[in-house]
Amino acid sequence: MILNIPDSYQYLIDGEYFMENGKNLAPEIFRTRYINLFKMLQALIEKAGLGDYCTVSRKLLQIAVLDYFADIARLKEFHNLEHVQHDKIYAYEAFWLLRNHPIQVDNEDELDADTLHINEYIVSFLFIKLLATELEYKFKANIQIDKLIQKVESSQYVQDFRFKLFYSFRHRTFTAQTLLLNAESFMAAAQFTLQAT
Amino acid sequence: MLYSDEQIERFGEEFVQNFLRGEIKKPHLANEENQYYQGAEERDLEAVLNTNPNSPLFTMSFELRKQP
Repeated sequence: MILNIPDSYQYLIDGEYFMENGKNLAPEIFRTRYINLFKMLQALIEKAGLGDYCTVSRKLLQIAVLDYFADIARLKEFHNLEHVQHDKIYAYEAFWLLRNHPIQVDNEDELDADTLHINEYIVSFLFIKLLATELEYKFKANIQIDKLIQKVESSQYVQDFRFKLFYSFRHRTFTAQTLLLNAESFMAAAQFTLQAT
Repeated sequence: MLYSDEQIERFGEEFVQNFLRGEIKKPHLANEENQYYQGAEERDLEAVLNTNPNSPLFTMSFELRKQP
């Protein structure tokens, strides 16, 4: 059996996976996601004090974004989904960023060996940050909790969780699906805690 | 309320006819799936750009500890 494997990502537009009200939104959606991820990665590199040593690769980020949308297109087609849940977006995004390593170290001689794992380091934070942002959005109408994101970021439990993500990204096997389960578990635990308080 | 055998037979026939007409749709979760295209993307960008570089979560050491 010969598989018909596309040799470009053009099918993501031709396949009409991202149609809405008769309009193919793929170009706009891809562009927005690319720009936003670029800005996020770059801001976090800068805040980590590594702006002089690392660069976001334009081409590797392009591939990461298109790999992500290729995965999402498969999911949408198979499950006949219109849109995808936030947890899934964050998990699949993190997976394809880690697969493609869009953050490149410019001069490795100026950094210690651990810091070279900058993609795993940044994505482990980004993953939690996005989940915390979604958590705050979900709960802000129902529960009065001031500065939820700040509390999440100060929690020793969450810091341990980030460390475990960082470790796992470096040394363990993971898939987009296992990351999704991580995201869902984190959200379930956090939501239970918020409801119980 | 209990249904009679005749009613249940009719329900069965209605089910099959609906299925054959393609009227039984795969259920979609009535959750917040649409929101990512209605502002969440901007919201997430703003949250990440506003990250406090001194927050304990962000300033984690690169150094690996031994996993128990």
